[in-house]
Amino acid sequence: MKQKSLLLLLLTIIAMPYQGNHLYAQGCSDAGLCTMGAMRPDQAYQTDVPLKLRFAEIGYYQGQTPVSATINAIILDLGFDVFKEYNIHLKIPYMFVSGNFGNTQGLGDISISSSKHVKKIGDFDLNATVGFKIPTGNADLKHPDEDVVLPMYYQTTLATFDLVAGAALINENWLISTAFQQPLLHFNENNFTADPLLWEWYPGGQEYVQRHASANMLRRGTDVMLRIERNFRFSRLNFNVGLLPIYRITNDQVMDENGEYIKPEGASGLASSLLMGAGYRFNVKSRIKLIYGLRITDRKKNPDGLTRTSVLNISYNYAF
Amino acid sequence: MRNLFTIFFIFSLVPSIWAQSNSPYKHLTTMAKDANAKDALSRLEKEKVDDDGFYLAAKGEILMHYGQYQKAENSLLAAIELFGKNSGQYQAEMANSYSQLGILYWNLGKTNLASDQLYSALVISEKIKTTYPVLWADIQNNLGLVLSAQQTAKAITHYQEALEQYRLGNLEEKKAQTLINIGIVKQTEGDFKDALTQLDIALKIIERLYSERHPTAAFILSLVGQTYAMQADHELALYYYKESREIWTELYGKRHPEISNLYILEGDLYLKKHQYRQALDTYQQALIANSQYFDQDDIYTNPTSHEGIKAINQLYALLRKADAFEQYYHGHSLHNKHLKAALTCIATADSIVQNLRIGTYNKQDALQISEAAYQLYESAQSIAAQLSKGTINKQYYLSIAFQYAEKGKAAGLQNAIAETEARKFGDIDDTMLNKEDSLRTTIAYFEIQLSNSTKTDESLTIRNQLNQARSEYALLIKTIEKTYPKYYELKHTSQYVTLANIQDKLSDGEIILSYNFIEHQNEIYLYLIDKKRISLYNISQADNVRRLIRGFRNALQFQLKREFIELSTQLGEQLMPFAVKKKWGHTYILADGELSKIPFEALIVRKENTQEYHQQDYLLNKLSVSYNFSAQFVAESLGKNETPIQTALLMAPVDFGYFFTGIGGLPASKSEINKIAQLFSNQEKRTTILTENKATKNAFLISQEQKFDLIHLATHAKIFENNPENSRLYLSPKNQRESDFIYANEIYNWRLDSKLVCLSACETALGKLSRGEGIIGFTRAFTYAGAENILVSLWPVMDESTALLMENFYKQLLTDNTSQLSSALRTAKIQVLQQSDYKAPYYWAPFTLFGK
Repeated sequence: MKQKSLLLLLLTIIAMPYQGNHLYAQGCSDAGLCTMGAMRPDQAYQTDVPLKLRFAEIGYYQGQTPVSATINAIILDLGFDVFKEYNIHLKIPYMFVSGNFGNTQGLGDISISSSKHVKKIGDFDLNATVGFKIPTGNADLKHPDEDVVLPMYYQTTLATFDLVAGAALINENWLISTAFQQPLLHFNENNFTADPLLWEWYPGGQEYVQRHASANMLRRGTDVMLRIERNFRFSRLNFNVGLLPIYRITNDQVMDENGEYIKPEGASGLASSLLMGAGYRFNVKSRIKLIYGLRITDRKKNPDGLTRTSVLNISYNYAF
Repeated sequence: MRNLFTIFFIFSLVPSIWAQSNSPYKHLTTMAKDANAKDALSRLEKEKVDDDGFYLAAKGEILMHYGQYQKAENSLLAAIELFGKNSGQYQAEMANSYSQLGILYWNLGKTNLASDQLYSALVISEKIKTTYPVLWADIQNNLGLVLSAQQTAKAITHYQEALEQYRLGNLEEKKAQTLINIGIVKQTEGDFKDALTQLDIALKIIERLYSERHPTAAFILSLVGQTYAMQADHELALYYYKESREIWTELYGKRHPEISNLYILEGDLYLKKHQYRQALDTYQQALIANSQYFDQDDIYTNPTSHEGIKAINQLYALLRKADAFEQYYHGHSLHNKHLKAALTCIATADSIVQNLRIGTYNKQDALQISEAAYQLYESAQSIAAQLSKGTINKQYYLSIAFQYAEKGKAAGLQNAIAETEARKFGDIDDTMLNKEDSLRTTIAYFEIQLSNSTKTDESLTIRNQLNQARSEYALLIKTIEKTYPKYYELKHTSQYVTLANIQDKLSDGEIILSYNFIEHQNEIYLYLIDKKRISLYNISQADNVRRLIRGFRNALQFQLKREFIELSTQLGEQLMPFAVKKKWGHTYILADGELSKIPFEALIVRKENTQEYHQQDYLLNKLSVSYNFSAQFVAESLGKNETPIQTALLMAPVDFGYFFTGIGGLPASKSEINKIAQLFSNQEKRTTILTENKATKNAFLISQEQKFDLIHLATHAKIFENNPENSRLYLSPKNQRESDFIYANEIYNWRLDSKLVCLSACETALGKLSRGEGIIGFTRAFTYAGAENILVSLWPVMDESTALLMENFYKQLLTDNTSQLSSALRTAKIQVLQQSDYKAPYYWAPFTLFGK
């Protein structure tokens, strides 16, 4: 027990926010909770729990935003067994963003979580996850030639230190998971505003700039998500289709010109996606998977820059 | 991999009296021992002298070599009797005959009887030890052999006595053989160091005795290899296996069962190291080495089921190969073709099992085959179940899994009934039956001789003889098919019901729940079958279910209400992981193992917020339940016409002669019988009532000259779990003899034609739990005897509550004039539960209906 407490303490220390002066940008389709631990999509269902999450995965991600920015990422996922009953999941993305305002790149927010099999309910396994999302910057990346901070779509970090907790029910055919993500510490120093004086140099016109919501010193709200996924599994092939609603239960806040935090209207509520996936296992250790997500509904305003019209994820997973 | 394979190559030593004997037949017994028992027997029979001890002893020994154990036993017993009349003169011959009888019983799996005979032989030989020291030593060795499986310490003592005598007599080869036997016991005990020492000494003796390479040396090397394998020293194990294989190959060429054994052992080493492909290639070589002609290296091909030189080895090789394919799938490939290849191996192995069952008379071999068959059907189910998950054709593979589950259920009983039915109803004459029996014996004999043969030219001759006997048998079967089609159909066509057959016979509201322990996965496979679909549920942690069953039975019998409700709810959740549908009216339970000991009706299907017995939501409230051995039996019962019970034999001894039997009377049983009789009389149905001192076994047997739809026995029963044939039903002890009672083994000889046999007594559903066969007890005996339905109890019942339950049951059955026994029993149970003071399941749940 003492050892476990020490480990949790160590994880917390590792998870402390990084506050360097480098410029990083954020760029996940969700704030992190949908792809952590037990909430991950297209999980291998095996009764042999110790093997399940002891893996290394390398993936390519592409997300299309409603504006011109396209987010590409190379993501390294690592899973470890700890004390036999705990699975530690570490996710490290490296982001490349390109759009009308230029290109940015950098280390994305790092997720670390611990999952545990809680119990069997009928033929379902109930797994629980608790974890953190660790920011890798302050979300204040600027245009390389102009002295303007870019909108959140171009940032590789959300610049918040978040707590994520959730649970998943999984069996051979179904995955039902739920989680919440609560920003605990805010390091966001983004001061993008669509001020014509600052963006007069932009040849694409002010109307386009206006489509990017202001994220001045953004304080992101709390998310709750639900994932329902139906899997069709064969020996080597599997297909899945799922629904992913994410509800922002508290409004985002941005600082106005007077230095007061305001709650932009329409920055809370439901955003949902339809997900489809397929996987192929070369053998018991090695597999590839493909996930495609399509936006169904969205919030009116998205100062955090997390909205995607579609996402594509291809990954290769090797279990040890 | 489950521990399936061990080389059984232990040295039994034929007592050496014959060298000094005056027997005029010693050349014939030597001939029989040297793989020519058939010729020896025909020569001996020309000199028929039935009152000569030497003749009978020789005949017994030769018949034993020929595999005709029953006749051999008779001859040896007759010889012992004759020698006994002049025991002073023929002590050595007496000792020898007892020793032979001991080995015979050992072959029949009757270990206790075997050791009794050998101890008798030992006592006699002690007296003549100075004249016949080697005879005494051989008997000691054989005693060690017989005791080695259960009493290792005693076995070692006997082996060491033999060893000392062989040392004194400088009998080097016998010394080596006894050392090997000691080595095997030490290896079994896990004393590997000592095992290796004994084997090493034995090897040195053999090498000293024989300048050329010798089979015994090869055998010792394989044992050394196995000892290293047990210590996980795979490299050394592989080295010794290869050394051993080289000797066998030098001596007998590439095709020999022992070479096949070694390939299997080598394959096991690769499999343990997860070198799947190498393991599969090696098992393929095992199949080739044990085949007469098959020579395909391609692992996706198998020899036919008749190819094997030694069929049991072929069965093991195929099982190993199937297992390697299954492990390959789960451990690496996930390729369906590997599971399909495993199923192909299983199908061939299954054919071999069927062939082996026809020709096996040796109980040890029969047990070995049953054990292999049980594992075969377990593997088949897990492979087919996995394929059902991995393909679109789910129902197809589930039907295959179910088919194998069926094959693993009461196969022995089904075969025995098929054989009896065929003989009874097949209208076949005795000459043809004798010819069939004789050819089967001959085939079995040549198969054994071929596998034991150590000379190439001799092997060739035996192989030809075997092929000739097989051709003759095939020809005979064709003739039988043509001339006696009914017999052929009853005996030789497949007895297993298919899923489609059973679904066709089920009505809309009927379901079958078939439970099957899959030991290697510690799971229970539950097949739920209705008219249209089959579903498979994997119940995990079978060992936990077993624990729950023990607790459930205890809580039920001792009426521990809180514990019962808790355990019944837990068991209900485990054993019925599905929602009970409203449209279901009846379920047939095909239980397996310990599940045969619980009344499913008393399982709680939904937890209620009450601690009252009668307010629980039992399965009883939802469905009527009946039990059976397999779906085959269900299908047969569904095919029969249903007519109400018209005639009844009602028996109750009431008093059991306490001073003779030690058991008390059952006063309520008399009123039970009277009330039932009244019910029958009200319906103007014919009854015969035998109570008190009229309820004798003799009266029962005489009454069987008439046909009774119902036989109701309200009495005491005693169950012998370890010796089920001795289980008995008590009747009036008129003669104060053991023969006053009905024994389970006599019931097998009866021919009943009753719709229902009701054993209103204690624990009549219980007996010996036999893997694959279910409970060996009264239910099985009465089923074999032809009873369509049997009502039996799962625990000691109470006199009064049983009387009430029975009265309710018959009232229901007769007033509704129904033939639906299960629904009448269900109603009777609900009435006891809801309307009497006997609300605990202890009172209303003990009786279960076997049959329809």
